[in-house]
Amino acid sequence: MSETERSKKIDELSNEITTEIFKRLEAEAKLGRLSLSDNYVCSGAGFICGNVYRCGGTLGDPSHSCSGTFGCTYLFIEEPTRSQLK
Amino acid sequence: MEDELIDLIVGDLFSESPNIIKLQKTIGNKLKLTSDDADDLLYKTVAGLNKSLFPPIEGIELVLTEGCNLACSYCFEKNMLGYRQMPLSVAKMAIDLLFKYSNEQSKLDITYFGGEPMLNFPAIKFATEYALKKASSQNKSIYFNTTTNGILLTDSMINYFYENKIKVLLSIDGVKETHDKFRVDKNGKGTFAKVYENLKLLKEKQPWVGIKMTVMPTECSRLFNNILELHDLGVNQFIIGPATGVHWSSQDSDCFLSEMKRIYDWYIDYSGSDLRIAEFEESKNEPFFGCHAGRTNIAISTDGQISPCSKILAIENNNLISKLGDVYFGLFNFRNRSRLINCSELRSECDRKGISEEYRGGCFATNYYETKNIFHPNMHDYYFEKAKRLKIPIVTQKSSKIAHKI
Repeated sequence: MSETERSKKIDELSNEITTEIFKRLEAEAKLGRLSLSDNYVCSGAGFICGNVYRCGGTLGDPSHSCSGTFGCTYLFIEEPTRSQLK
Repeated sequence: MEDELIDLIVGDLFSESPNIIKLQKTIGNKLKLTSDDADDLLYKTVAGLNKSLFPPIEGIELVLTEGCNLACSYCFEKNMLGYRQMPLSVAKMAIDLLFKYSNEQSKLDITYFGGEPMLNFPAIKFATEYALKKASSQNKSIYFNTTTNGILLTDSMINYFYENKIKVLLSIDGVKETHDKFRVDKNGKGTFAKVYENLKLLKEKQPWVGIKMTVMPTECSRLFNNILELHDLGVNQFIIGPATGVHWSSQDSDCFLSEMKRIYDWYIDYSGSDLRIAEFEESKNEPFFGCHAGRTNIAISTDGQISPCSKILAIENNNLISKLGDVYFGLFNFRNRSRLINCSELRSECDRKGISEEYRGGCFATNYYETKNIFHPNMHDYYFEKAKRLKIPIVTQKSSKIAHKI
């Protein structure tokens, strides 16, 4: 197998694994564990990504102003505290 | 793809302490890959997840050496200093990682840090040339900086910095009387004369010279005079910071603020264009808690471990606080990166103390010095910042006139 073919094979495997992992994380979000609304719009309370301002960003949309926000919604593993939920 | 394998990967990467070596072996065995292919697969998968979940990395600090030729009494890196140097192979992987994780980001920063980075000048040359080549092939711009005590600078180093547009920031605490009290060599001898000699050399190639001043409580009363005299000696830009990890009495803090007010008044009245004190200028109001550490910036230790920033790295370099990963597998500690970005704990702590509306949590490392937790605000810093803002307004009219130099 040539280096190009080898690299291509690893890229394909990596993409496959990444997609599967995303499905798991998304499923967790759908369970409501991450305090998201049904259409995955950030609740804007600031507690999800730590941002102060409401960005209104859509999960998975890298074009909105707050890069990283959509990521944090996936990864908000800890329960938000009471004050964060105000 | 087997569910069991995905479960294993998710379980490990999203755990408190990912065991990346074990995961690499498991992936290799399950998918019947060679060790190199398993490394490659894990590196690419981790990078892909970071790309989807977090902001791109825009800047890295390379801790090129743990060695230092000085013995400054207040050094925040005292616990870190040793003899290890960053091998060129680690520097190369660190730069590869920056480019890999920068995604669409076209302007990247590399800062050479130490210890004293000039002790590993071959690594500076290698990293600069490798990064420039890489930037050119990917159509990206790269900006280099280095922070140095200035003692080891030579003509050829300065020429190299000039030719490769590497901006040099000197650590100078004041004129001789102040500087020589703390910034001493291994024999306890003051270093002002040498650094001033090299400042003049540097200025021939880099006309705009910036310095980082660490202010000790005992030297507060000289601060204004030190600034004026250093400006007369050719310094254009000042980054002024009170020393951390030392006791500041309320009188010391008051004295520091009074001196800052004097500097502010002078700065406002100063009409020349050869001076900048960013401290007094309106900063970009970042819309998030915490800082860039771990969000868009990272620091690489001599052995290739990844920390959110060099200040956090220096707290405990053999057992990193909030370790993010390493240059071999990338930013694989997703929990730590997530915590640094969402800052929920820091925000919550600031909420609990009733300061979250006016304070974004401060510097992670400074928080740690006071509270032993990067996400628990250092209240001394908070009160200090608040007092400073009450006493010293932000300059808005000046910042628009002065181009950003450093």
